[in-house]
Amino acid sequence: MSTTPAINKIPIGKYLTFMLGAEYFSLPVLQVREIIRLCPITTVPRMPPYIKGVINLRGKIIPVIDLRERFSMNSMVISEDDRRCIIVVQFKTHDALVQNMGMIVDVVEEVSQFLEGDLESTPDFGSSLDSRFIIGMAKSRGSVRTLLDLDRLLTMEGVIQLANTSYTAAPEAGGAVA
Amino acid sequence: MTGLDSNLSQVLQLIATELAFLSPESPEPLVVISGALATLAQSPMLLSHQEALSQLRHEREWIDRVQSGQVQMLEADVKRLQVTYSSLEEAFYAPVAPGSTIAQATSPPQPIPVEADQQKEPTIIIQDSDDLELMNEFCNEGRDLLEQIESGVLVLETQPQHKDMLNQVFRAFHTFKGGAGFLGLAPVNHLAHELESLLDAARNGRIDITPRVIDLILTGGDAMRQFVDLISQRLAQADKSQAIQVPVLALMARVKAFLAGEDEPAPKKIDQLVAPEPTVAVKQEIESIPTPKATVAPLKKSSDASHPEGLVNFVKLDTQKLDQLVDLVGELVIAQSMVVQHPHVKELESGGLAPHLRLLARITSDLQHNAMSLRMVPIRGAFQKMSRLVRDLSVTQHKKVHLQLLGEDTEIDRNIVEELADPLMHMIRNAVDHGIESPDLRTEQGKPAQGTVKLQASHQGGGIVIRISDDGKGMDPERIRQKAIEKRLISVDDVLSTVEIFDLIFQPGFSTAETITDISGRGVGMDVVRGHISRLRGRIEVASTLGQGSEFTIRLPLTLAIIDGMLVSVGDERFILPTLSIRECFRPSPGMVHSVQGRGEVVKVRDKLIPLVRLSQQLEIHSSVKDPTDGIVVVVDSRSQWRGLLVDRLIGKNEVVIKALGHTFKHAYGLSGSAILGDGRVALILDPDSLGNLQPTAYRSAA
Repeated sequence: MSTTPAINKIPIGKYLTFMLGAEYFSLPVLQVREIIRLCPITTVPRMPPYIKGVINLRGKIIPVIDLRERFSMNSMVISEDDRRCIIVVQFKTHDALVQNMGMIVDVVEEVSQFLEGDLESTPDFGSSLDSRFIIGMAKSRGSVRTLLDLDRLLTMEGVIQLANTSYTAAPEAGGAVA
Repeated sequence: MTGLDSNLSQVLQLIATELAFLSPESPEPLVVISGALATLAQSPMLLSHQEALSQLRHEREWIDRVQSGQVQMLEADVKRLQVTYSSLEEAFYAPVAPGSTIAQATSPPQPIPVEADQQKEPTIIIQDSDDLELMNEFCNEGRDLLEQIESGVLVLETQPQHKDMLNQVFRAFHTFKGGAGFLGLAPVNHLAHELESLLDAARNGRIDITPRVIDLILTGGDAMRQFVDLISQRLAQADKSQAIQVPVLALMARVKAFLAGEDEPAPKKIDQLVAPEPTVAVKQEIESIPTPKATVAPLKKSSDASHPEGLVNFVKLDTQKLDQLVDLVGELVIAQSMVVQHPHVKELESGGLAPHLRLLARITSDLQHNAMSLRMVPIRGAFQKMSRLVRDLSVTQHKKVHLQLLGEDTEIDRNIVEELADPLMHMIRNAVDHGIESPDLRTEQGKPAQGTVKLQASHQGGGIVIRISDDGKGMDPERIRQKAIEKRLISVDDVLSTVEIFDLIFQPGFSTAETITDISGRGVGMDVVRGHISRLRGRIEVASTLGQGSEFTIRLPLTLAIIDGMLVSVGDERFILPTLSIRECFRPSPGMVHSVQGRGEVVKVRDKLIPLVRLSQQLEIHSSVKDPTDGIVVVVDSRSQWRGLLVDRLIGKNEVVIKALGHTFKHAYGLSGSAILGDGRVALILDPDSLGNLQPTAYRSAA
């Protein structure tokens, strides 16, 4: 189930880091089209709960997913200080079509350069955890970031469980244990 | 050209140049041409081409007569000279052509008869060195030309004396041949050449345009189309090296035999088929002659004799660019309305802003109309394919059928024209096959022996209406009813109006067995036609009078890019329903809605029971409207059945630009797309067809 990609497969370079709960995630900045404030989303009926609907991005219809829901995390308690954003990313489908997708995240943190020394391959989380969409891990400023493989993540079907992660200490915001 | 005397080739070039300047108004070049022809006439090479030689002499005599004022030079003479020239040129180049020359059996002077080649069907193999882009261009242009040829030939069939049309068809063949030769597609080139000779003989009055000639040309056109299709297929493949082969030898032999049989000497000036290389030269030189519109003939002009020539210029355009432009203009319209409707702007009524905004609005809407019209093409293309179909059908069915085309200039979105071909073909087939009776039967019934199928297009109410009518036997409602009962589409007790009975023919699985023949009754029935039409957001209706004929009416939107929609709300969500599929809207009064045990709800309108679909339930949306009398029922046409969609309220009517929902929602239920509303938000467009589908499938379940 869990694969351990060789470390040299993790491309060094700039990554965008965002948060879901107390967990940090990063994705290659080259795949980010833009980051916009959370805006009204038109619900598309009869879709899995994580697919929130569509938005109009300057005339283009972009589907939007909620990453918390995608990772089966608790939904966020919305506070006064709502810093949720939609990160519009570009990914490739199975048939190599380039698609855009919006992902709702709690907070966008920063863009940073990950060097070879920062990167580590995906640890073995055991069979309870699906890690096919994780390229690897990165250590940066004392925190660990999960590097996402968007092409995999956004084309995967079915439920994704992201729980029991041993590298974060924030169970109150993060995992909804299955 | 290797082998050809350079002097001779210069002389030929000279004639070509002089011909370019020749016109009835300026006959001066004739002097030079006459002299050059004299030089050519002395060439020993022509000895083996008696036909060309006699033609040459004939032309010289003619020039003498013009110069002495005995005859007047006409435009047609210039054309004839050009044709003579090209055949002369071929005669000179052909014998020395390197490479394989396909020998012709009927020609006596045969330098290298390559018998082996004749046994084998020629093949084309696309080489890496070939210019694939040019080849693709050739395929595209070739298809247009072939269409032109086909429609032209069909005109010739009815009016064999139509000289202009004959010339047009000839030119189209010529252009096609030139293109094929240029690209080294020898088999295509040879075939085109044969057919061109056939037409040439007709042009020169050596043969008459008989049905046999028409058949030969049409069959030849079909073979050429096969070539073109196969070539473009190969071009799209990774492995292009696969050989392309279309059986043409038999056909070419038929053409030759025909020409040989009809005329005293071999009617063709040159019996040698040109090999690829020399043709390149031929073509290049021909291009330098202003053969009026021969090589540059704009396609649209020559496709119809009734069209005045000239005046309109065309630009070929990448359709993607066009679509992008239309999309952008759509955005502009939305942005414009967002600005105008912005509350801040509305407050600024003073200051002279209003006139500027109005100007902006007007220009935007003009721009939108303009951009939309770019996608519009006359429906002619789809109609003309039908002439051929009717012709072929009437021959195989031994019926006399006349196809009357009306309103071919009606413009419609080009995507629709393409999609229309199949359903039209099906309905025309039905009309000829099932509708029109045999000539004997018709005469017995006091009808003219020749049946008429009418295909008519017109604009109506912001859309387009296409009518297909025949004066055949019509449909028998009673028989359709019986059939439907047999097929369990209705029950014996159902009381149906005539309209409803005719509507049954659109039901899947409905086919009146008595009418099945090898042509129409192939299992794909009218339900497929309706499917096609509704995918184009259109509607189809049928009317018929027994003994007098049937009429199918197709209503289509003008374009697929814009939809006239009714904006409705369900809960907090807004949806767009295509206006074309809406029959009526009303607020039900208490007592109109009934529950049917185990089958859901129906709403009773004027003694008709319509299944009720609660959109909030179907789309799983929370709505405060629980009692149907608090909401609105929108009656829609859903796959030929009516459905009452219960919505919370109607918001208004809008024209919206349709946007695809994309990959993520390809399996989305009940939706056909989305649109951006004036406030910048997205609204989803509902698909009445799939919304109705979830209901029990029994027809008129509660009747």
